[in-house]
Amino acid sequence: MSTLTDTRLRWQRQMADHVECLSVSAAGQVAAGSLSGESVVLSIEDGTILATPAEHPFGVLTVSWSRDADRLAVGGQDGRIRIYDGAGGAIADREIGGWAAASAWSPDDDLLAVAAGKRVFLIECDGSVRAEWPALTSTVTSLVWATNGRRVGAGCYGGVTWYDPDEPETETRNFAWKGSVLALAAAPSGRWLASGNQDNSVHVWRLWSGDEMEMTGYPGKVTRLGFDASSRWLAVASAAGVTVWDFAGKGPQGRRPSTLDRHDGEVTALAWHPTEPLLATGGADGNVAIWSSGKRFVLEGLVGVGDGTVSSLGWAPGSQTVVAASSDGTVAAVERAP
Amino acid sequence: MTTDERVPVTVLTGFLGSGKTTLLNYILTEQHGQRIAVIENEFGEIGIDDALVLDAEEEIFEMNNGCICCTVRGDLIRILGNLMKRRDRFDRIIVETTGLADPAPVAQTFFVDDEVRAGMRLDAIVTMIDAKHILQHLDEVKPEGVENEAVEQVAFADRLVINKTDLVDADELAEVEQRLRGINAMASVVHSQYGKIDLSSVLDVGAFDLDRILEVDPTFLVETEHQHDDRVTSVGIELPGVVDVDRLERWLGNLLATKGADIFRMKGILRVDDDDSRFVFQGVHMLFDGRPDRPWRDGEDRTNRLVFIGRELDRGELTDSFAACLVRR
Repeated sequence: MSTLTDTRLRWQRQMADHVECLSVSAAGQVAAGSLSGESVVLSIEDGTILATPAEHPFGVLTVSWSRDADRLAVGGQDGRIRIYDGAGGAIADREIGGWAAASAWSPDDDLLAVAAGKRVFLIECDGSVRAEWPALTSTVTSLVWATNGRRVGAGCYGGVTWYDPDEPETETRNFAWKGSVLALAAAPSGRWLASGNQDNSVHVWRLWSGDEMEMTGYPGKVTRLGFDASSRWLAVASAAGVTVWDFAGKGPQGRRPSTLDRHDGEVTALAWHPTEPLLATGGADGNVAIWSSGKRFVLEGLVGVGDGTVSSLGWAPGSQTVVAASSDGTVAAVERAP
Repeated sequence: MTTDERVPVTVLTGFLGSGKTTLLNYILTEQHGQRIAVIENEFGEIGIDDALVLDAEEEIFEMNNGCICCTVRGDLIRILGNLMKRRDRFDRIIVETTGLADPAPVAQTFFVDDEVRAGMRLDAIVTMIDAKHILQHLDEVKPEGVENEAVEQVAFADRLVINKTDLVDADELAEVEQRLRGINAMASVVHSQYGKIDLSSVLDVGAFDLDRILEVDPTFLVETEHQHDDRVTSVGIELPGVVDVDRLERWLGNLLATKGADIFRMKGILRVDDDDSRFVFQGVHMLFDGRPDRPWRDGEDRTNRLVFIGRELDRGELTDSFAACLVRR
């Protein structure tokens, strides 16, 4: 059994401006993008720079590693998406028009979905475009792949569009909902799709039936939420701490969520470990908290990572290390004691 | 007193041809030593010297907050949120709306989104007026249920810039001005030619600071004869006395629930309970913000002052219902 003090800061590195996005590969490469336009690839071991992708003037908005650590996508406010190989070698540089607000590799690593303005592009790992879907009615804010890779969802004002990457020409299924979607999460089980929304709510669809439910009353807009590896828990960050909804069995209806609150002020980032029952949360207080989930949630560690607000978190797969990015430009690795 | 460190935002509205772009270019090229970000519709995303010009396509979002008229600009929330995160923050932001835009969603964006509220303050809505053509725009008859955008843009303004004054004679100008005041008595009026203007009269207006209300032309507080059959008018209320906060909240809550769609703007400075500080509030349609402000100064006139601008406002009813919130006269 570890104690709070066993959790430690492994390393810290400073970037030029607010770090907007973060992605950690299975091979221990940490990609981070800053609103200065700079992005870097750091070693999970000690934070040394492994590669420096090209600058995106006006800011980097999305970085994402493929699961096999063979491809890195970096996109920015300059309306470009660039693809690199695992060693940082440039593979493709594409103009997509509009801010590249989100990107995500398919679970089998062969396709990259990119949101640019009101459109979603599907790009092959050699950089060629497989599909460019027609413009949606408003700007796409978020993307999520179904775990089986058979669908990719795009969130915007008006709900979630659920694309079929294998048959891009066929009509897409929509989860219409009159509100502005800011973030998406899909349960690994394939049963649930959840959105965090501008109107201080979380909307949930049961994917098989299309049934919907809504959790309202959050103190602010919901921009961070995620399902754990077991698909049982949906964690939602807000100004009132983290609420964790229990999706076991028929789902959370009629159940009270657990509230995890050890941050001073708003919780601004969260990440579930990809395989283990661990949740990392980050706050406006500049702290990273690590929780283990079992029958109850237990605080395992609390570490400060700078003076800013934690903007993004990502676990290194197969390890006990979580990487945090902050509004003051800090990128830091926090290790949970084994 | 703490100073407000939030970045001031100026919203620039006005019909096509009113001279918005000319004014904007004038602001950007004038030597003012400020870093300005401009959010507008025509340009691409380019930096001009110390300014950043961002392209925004208007996206109107209806909010699910039980408020029928609550719409916000989704694109502005995204762009302003992004600008605010930067270390190298701008000294000032200017949002230019399209010529036919309803100003309400822009203004409401500053009330609804927490991030925007935390980092930015709406300094003023500045409406450019084409002296030659404004009356024609105001008089344009719209189909039932369709708003006259020119009337809305005038009604929402904190500052009215009458441009192209060289194209009209003194009588025409006086008529324009009188007509504008009939709709919006709260906004102050400045004149300009070719978009040239003293920048301090459109930037750092501090209109949403509410102190402006005290400088408002007192004539609007008096019932004036309607020169035209304008449905959009201003109502000013000036009453001495101490306001009971509970009654005030109930009154405003009821008023906005029933008349919110018709009330475009409202502002007030009130003497509440026995507080030593002024209580200020302002609203856009059904959204409002009320808070204690700076302490009253020695010898300062503590008369309650409220202004409403809206459609089919009943001055007598508003005055009486506000008077009922007073605990003593």
